[in-house]
Amino acid sequence: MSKISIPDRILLFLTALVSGYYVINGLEKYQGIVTLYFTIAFGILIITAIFLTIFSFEILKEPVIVVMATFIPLALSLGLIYKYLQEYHLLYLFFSMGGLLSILITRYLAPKRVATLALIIVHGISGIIIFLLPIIIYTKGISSFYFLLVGVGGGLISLGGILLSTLRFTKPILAAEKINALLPKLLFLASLGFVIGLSLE
Amino acid sequence: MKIIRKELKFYWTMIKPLQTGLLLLTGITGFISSRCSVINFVKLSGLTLSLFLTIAGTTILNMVFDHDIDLKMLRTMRRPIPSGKVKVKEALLMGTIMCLVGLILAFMLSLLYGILIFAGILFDILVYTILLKRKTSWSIFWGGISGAMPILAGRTLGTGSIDTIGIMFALSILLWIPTHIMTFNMLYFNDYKNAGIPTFPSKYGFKNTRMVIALSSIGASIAIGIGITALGLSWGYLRLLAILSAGLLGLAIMSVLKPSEKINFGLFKYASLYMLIAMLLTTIGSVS
Repeated sequence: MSKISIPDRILLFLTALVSGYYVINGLEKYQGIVTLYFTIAFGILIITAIFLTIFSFEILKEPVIVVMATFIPLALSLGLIYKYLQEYHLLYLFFSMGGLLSILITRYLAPKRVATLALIIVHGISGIIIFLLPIIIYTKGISSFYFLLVGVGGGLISLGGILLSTLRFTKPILAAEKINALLPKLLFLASLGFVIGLSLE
Repeated sequence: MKIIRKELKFYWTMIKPLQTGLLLLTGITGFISSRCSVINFVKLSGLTLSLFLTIAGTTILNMVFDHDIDLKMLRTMRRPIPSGKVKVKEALLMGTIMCLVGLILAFMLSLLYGILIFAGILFDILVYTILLKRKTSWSIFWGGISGAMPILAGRTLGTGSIDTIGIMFALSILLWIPTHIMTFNMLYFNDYKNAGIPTFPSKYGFKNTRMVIALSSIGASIAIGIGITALGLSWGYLRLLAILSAGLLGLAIMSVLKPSEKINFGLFKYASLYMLIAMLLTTIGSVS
């Protein structure tokens, strides 16, 4: 595993800073449960950025980190669902809990392929929700154009999650070094997309 | 000119700029958290200067009294005094003058503030370094008390009295300091052993020390959390602090369940970063 370069450290620092700013100043406008979901999503984004800075990419080998990272798209999509499609919230909450549980169980007890599949499914579905929901909301005229940036962020974070999960394949989509080089950029752009999009929605 | 620059460079390393900087920041944070005299720049400048002089002076005096141990340890043998770049008497004089000037300034600002700063120096040099460091592994507790003094003193200067918030802030620093010292005790275990310094890992073993570090980190985050909540900062700041505390708790648990040098050192780095961010959040939250 390669070490984190200085520019990547700066990007990770900015990721934590941008997310931290939103946690302090941006969440007051939401209802209690949405605040909770977004706090979890941005909180884990912050902790992931700090952990990566401290431990470098080696931390990604820890199963607990993989499980933890899944909370980012899940919590964000849960918040969006609650805000815009409240009637589906409970259903999606059950899916999220089931998804998390399956990732947790397969990570420790099932063969690598099954664990990766579980991860890709959960990351994929939550990523699609974060990507598509802002587009639908925008086309219906409910939100501003900037809200589309949340979708871009969702796409980027899911891409990161899926790329990382393929590292467990014998032939990953991209080499580990390339994925590691991409990850800080993806995290930063995703956090920027989320914060700008949600602030100006 | 060249000689002066060289001497200044030696003294710069002797004051441990990062440690001094962090302790100075805690003092400034304590003062600003009182929200009463933020615009009183004279008082703020006096606090900054008196704290800098006393913290840096105390650090130099520690190096004077510990130069014989420093010589026996690989990590510290190249420090200016053991390596002969700075004479013991010269450093003793410099450290004493810095402490005295800082103390006079502190007493000029406020009697109570001066007493707290004096107590910090006394606990650090006399109780921790001279009396206990070579005798008991529990000496770090006293070192912790001295490290907690700048934030308590800073807040006391602002409020005019010692209050619960100040004590909570001080407690958080007191609990944070063992994570700092014990991590070094484990990383440089043989160094401390060769120098004959009793440490927690040598007396109670690595496993118990990790547990103490984990509990101490959690205690520090609880204390700072209570302090910031009592201070009445907005929910946003509390949310961010809760997030960072969760990260600290997670790492502390990992260091106990899956111990390794990397995790231990990571916990130490995270705890230092945590304290730095907590101080910045308190400062920004108090003035905004």
